[in-house]
Amino acid sequence: MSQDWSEIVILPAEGQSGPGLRLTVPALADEAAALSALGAFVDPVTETGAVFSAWGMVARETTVPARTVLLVGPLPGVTDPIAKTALEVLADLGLVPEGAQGYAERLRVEDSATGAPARLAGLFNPLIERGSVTGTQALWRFVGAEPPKVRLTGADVGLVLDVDLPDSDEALLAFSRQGVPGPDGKGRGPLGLGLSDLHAIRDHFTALGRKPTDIEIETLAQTWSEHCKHRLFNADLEGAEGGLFKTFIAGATKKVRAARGKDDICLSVFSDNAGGIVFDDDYLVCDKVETHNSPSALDPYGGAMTGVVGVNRDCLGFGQGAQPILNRYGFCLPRYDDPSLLFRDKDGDSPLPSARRLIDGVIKGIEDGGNQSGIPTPQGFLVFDDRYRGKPLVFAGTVGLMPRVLPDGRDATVKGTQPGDAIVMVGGRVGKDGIHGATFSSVALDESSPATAVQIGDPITQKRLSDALIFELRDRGLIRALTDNGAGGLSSSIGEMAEETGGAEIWLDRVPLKYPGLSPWEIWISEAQERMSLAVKPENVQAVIDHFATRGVEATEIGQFTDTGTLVATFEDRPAMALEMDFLHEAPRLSLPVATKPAEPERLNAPVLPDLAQCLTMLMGQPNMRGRTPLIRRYDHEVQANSLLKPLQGVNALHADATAIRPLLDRPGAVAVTQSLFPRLTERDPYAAAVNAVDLSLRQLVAMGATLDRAALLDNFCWCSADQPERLYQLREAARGCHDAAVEQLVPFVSGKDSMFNDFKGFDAQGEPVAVSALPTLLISALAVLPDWTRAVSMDFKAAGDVIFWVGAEPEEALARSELALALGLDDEALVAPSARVAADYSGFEAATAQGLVASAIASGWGGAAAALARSALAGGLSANVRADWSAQQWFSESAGSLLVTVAPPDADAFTSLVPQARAIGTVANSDTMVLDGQAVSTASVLAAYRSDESGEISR
Amino acid sequence: MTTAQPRALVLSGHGLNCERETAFALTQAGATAEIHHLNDLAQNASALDAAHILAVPGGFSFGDHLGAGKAYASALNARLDDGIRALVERGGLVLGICNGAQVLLKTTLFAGAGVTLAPNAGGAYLCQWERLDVTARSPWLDGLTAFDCPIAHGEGRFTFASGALEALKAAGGDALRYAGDAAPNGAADRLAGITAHEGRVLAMMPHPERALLSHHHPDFHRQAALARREGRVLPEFGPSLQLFQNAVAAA
Repeated sequence: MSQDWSEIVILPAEGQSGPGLRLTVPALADEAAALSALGAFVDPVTETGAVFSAWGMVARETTVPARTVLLVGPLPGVTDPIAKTALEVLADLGLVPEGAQGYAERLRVEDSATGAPARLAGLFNPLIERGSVTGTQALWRFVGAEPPKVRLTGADVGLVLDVDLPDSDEALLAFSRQGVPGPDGKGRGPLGLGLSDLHAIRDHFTALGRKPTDIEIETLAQTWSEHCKHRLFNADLEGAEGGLFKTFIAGATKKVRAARGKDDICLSVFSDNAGGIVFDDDYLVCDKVETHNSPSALDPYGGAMTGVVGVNRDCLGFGQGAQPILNRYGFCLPRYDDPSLLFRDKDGDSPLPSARRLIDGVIKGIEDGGNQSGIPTPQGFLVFDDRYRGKPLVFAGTVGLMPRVLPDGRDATVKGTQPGDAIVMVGGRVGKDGIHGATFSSVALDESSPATAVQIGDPITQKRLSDALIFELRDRGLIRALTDNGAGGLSSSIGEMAEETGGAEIWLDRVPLKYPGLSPWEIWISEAQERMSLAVKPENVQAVIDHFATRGVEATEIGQFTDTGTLVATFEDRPAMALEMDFLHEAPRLSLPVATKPAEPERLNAPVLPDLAQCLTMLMGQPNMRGRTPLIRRYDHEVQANSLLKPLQGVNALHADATAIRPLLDRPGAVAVTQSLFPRLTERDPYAAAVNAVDLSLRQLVAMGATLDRAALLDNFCWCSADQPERLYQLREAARGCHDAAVEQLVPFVSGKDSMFNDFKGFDAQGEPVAVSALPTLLISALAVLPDWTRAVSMDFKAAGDVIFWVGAEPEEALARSELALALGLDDEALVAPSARVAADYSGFEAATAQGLVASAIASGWGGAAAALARSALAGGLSANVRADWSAQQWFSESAGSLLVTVAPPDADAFTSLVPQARAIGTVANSDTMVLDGQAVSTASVLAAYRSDESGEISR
Repeated sequence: MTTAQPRALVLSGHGLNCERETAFALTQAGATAEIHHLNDLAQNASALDAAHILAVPGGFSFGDHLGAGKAYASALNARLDDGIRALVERGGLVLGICNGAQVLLKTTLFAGAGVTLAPNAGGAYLCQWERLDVTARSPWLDGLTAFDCPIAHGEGRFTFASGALEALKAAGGDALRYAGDAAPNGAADRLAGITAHEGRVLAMMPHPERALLSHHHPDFHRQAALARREGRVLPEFGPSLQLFQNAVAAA
């Protein structure tokens, strides 16, 4: 009823352009209450506001000028953080009851109504929000609308259903596609189970002599999903009979750790939410890189943001809880000006976001997720290619810091859940958001992809949870184990934790809900954000819950860990699930055919190239090469005051490959991070692409002063159509390349994540079928610990007269899949591609940086030696005279294994004695031209090309 | 100046996130720094009685959901107003950095000042280093004339009600300005920080705690390379330490 509600409207004052709000809150009692609310909500300098109630209005001004207003609010049931904050403030002032519900709409006041609908459409995502065009005058009165409410009236509310598994294979597959039928017969959404899985499930329950329940089917689908169990990565393949992960990734780590012996730096690998290595005697650092591709394809902003806060929780859920100290990101995107419109359905009712909207959204999502969480984001990359139009790749990674031993003597990497421990869920409440996220990201994106798989982030709720966990509770010894509720929600987190004790019992009716009416299966698999699961000794449960309550964080006991060998769930004391742990965690292994190596055609390898000046100027203006300063400056990379090597380096502030932090300002250690990928080379030579990506990420670390004996690697395979034999061949070869390069350099893989179906199947604007598959993309992320931060070296040239050295192998005559070949539109098939270089030796160079002999260093990567030279020179506001005697192909070849280094003349002899393979190729100059093998290049024009995008595009 | 170490109290909670580095800076300057969650302090405001310095650090309190600083300031005004005013009245110092400055401007410490922090003129969040000029006296800024600090904010544009800027200048509260021709965020009169209560309350958008050590500075690696050739070693701390030392000396 309308007298139950008040509306608080905040508008920009005359002459101001800021945003406004309309809040619908439980009715404020009287004028005094309304004034108190306005005092808290309205900025007296830039805003005006009013409270409207059934009993009348209290306003700063009685009338407002007539203006158009764009109004956007969340759809019913969607996380509404603005309303949450507003109600907390009102409750704190005693104006509404604690825990009251309300509704918040963002608004923008427009000078003109012309084109308002189009501008509105640019402001909201219809999957999660609703918008309308209205006016200031319509808002400046009591409307009396009730906030939208979720009304769930499904016939299955509160029900646990028995499921009839069909007999025929065809019917089984249809069942997997459409999902468990509800009481109305309609499928609940894709399960992503394959035929062998379905047979195994049917046989299991036939042997038990009963039907599976809907929750049991959903649990098996989540747990056995490609997303959670990495079925393809563990499948039996020719040439990798134990599976790719075991053979090539874990296999490499095992060999490296054995070879390193007592100098092994690994403390926790592959078994936890992140991988952990030694920082110093007292601390460790952990690292994890996730992808959030499918959610970002549908809701770029929300998908990218939940990618960041989600991987932050991997860090919080590592061991006994690590403090996030660095975020990194990576985007593989279509070009900004890609005009194509794609639809998930034939009739054009379900559009994918435009390229521009996609890019703006994911950039903003990483910004808000990181900045609002107080975690610095110094490291990231951007790659543009048309093939990322259907599914973009959005990478989010987090480095964490944790003491190695807790005050009570426990090893902080060990979980230690005991039978009888209480299961405590902490953080946000459960709603319909994120249902089927795990199974959804395990299949291609198409019409059947569920919109409820989109999740909304609320970084402040998570920040409260994080602060309480890491800074207050962890070291008090009250929590025995914890993990993140990510993909699969409770079904995954409890299922994983229960492995340690051999069982668990969950009371699903105790789980706090955002709104009533969720079915038990939905409670169990919802991926609603900002939640973690804890194992707590029964006598500590109340203390933990009470502490979280003082921080405004809800914690609830929802079950207990057992040793019964069974995962049990009940709803209002009725049984809902009883799955044997052994069965749950023994997904049938797939066995898949792999294509053979494609025949290698003759390559003429005689490209006709413009002169070096033209090539370099053109190259540095390419989307993948040019500057992204405005983007970097939107990501807070200074918070925590741990900055050591910044994302922008040198007097001209060019973006760098390696960044570093000093996480504890009273200790000397530092942490450096890098990222590398060669997705276009992967299609030609997946083995070389992987070897060279590992090499490049390690070489970038070496360049900044790190040593490989304290480095670690992370892999993210983002493949497409990965069950096809040709794609599996590429996947296997890439994994083999990871293995060989890691073993050669004795650097372990410590964590990874894969995403196998980055395919889009839909329609164009004419309703014609379209399929777009992402490039098979292997991202290699690396981190290293520097024992002493003073070893860090930046990439910019430091002084005229310094000697320029080329360290490592000479560049190859190999331009295929290079940035220059792309920029010039060369016939790639006629060109030779870079070879795999597995055995580069960086030990001499490591010794030189340790002695402080290196003034600047950069790894030759994308754009080759020419780009490396230009970037270092321009960053330092200097130029160079170089006589390397290379062909144009060599100047731009992206072949592996080399560094471009400058050394002060007095240090040159000491440097070459430590680095015998170093070749002096020139000197740093202070002039307006660079001279490359006798050809002059204007530094101003190269810098202008580099800055060509910084006026708009990425910066917006 | 007191003989014992001055006590600094640094607020935390609800999305503030720079409390640890702010406490570190105060500690390096010679204070004892304690971090207090807002909810704890609201329960036990007496901790303010023994404090000489109060710092509201940077962050994203309540996600800026209602506009930066409003929700946190509402709680301070409702729960801790007496204690904070008493601290200022007995000569104590208050520092608000970034989100802390946004909070302070909405507390009673700046009541009637007619000043607020609006969204950046460019519309986007900005994280970059700026040169700051000291343009009015404050116990926080003694001996400093110009120094470099990073900014990191989306709502940092000082904006004044009619006549309020003139009043601020007349009172000598226009303490910090961005060097150069214009503020990066479009702030009125290039203001980066302002004071109240005879300079004892400083609200600044740039982050001095992120410029505490020499290696925080973006030109550090070049300077270090050049210093090495001349046989010099760069100092451990940057000029921002002085700001915190001033507070310790004045407390």
